[in-house]
Amino acid sequence: MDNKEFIEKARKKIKDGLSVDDLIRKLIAFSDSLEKGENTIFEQLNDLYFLYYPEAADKLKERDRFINILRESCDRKSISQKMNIPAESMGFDLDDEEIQLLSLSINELSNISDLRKVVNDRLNSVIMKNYPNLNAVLGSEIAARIIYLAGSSYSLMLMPSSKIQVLGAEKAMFAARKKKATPKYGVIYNHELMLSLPDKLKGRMAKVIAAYTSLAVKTDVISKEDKSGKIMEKMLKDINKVRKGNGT
Amino acid sequence: MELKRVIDRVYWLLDRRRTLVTLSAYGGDSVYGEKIFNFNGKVYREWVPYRSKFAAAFYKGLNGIDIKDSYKVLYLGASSGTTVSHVSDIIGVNGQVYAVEIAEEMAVNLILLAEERKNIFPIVDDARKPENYSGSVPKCDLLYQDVAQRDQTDIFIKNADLFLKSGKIGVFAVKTRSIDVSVDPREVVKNEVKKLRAKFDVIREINLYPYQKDHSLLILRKK
Repeated sequence: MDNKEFIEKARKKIKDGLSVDDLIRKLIAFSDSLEKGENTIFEQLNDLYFLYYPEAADKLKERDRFINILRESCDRKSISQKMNIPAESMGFDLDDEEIQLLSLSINELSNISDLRKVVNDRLNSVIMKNYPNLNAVLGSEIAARIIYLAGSSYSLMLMPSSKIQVLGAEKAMFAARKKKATPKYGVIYNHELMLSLPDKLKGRMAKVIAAYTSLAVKTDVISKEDKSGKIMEKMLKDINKVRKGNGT
Repeated sequence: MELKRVIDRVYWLLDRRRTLVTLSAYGGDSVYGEKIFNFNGKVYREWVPYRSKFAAAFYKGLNGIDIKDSYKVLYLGASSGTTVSHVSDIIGVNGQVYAVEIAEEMAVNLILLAEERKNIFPIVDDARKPENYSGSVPKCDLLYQDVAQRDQTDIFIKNADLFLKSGKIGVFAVKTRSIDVSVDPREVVKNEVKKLRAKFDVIREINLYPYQKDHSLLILRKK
């Protein structure tokens, strides 16, 4: 007996089992590790730069600003002009070769940063194309992350909205089994609607967002139509109720 | 260096230390990075106990089991095919090992392995639902299960009912942590054995520490 038939069947099953969710999962993991690497390299470079020009490095503790200012050149003279600080420094005087090494490293860092932006753009367009409703409710970044956490859009669809509400807060959720209170929100916390809201209302808003996430993902997976206008109209009503403080 | 036979095609390679090896049935390629030994013109592959629970059992004193040339084996939880490749060595080119795995990324490796080793029959399916593949898998001479699920005992019994010939051996890797983390591991194994007693004789129970944590291997004979 030959195993060809089995291999054919298994291959087909693998192929059929793959979907755009797998792409989203891989892209988001890639983007995450790029960001992690970016931060590590930035910390080391900032440290190195601190040795050479502490006056400037002290003011460049923010990653994106650090990259923007030092991208072109990083010697004291040009930086002192750019940042309006004296070129006189108490740092260690580096050779030209070492300054070259610094600028090479900063360029690499800036490349990684650009690459991450490209990956995120790609992720956004994938979400927008495949999950228009979810994208309208959550924004592409959180939409991608919530699919990643759920495993697939299908399993996200099967979740009750109370579970969706705390996706990403698993640690607090398990702690709640012992004594603490249950968490009110997971990744939803980063939603733009939550940022401006007073703390007291955030729990309620999370509930509304989770409920509409559930609705949106069901629309995306089952009917595959773009009904985001209708959904958002309904959602805005509930959002206004929460804002007034007499919500759901 | 000398070879000491454990069972057919499985040997201890005695040097300064003992190393478990299987006589390769398909050439001299390393499957998962294991060492290859050439001895008297034959190729032997190291069977690493840290990677394979079956190998760990031999290191922990298992010295005989009913598996040999041309046997049909049903292997549940094949993963990327590490242990499967050695089982395929043991049963030889005339044997058949039906390897069931549900996780797609693992199954890809398994399929690629099956393309090289013609006695591996990959099945991408859920071992919980043996009826899905019962049409294509015949009665088997050995059932091996390593699935690390809470209901692993039920899965084992279900599959043994459908596929294992009576009087033949089932090898069952119990991962105690998957069944219940809060109970003492020895208790967990005891409870699982109780469930199995109705349909199997328990021949041996092997704790796989230190090669595998929280794992026991049960050797069972179907009544």
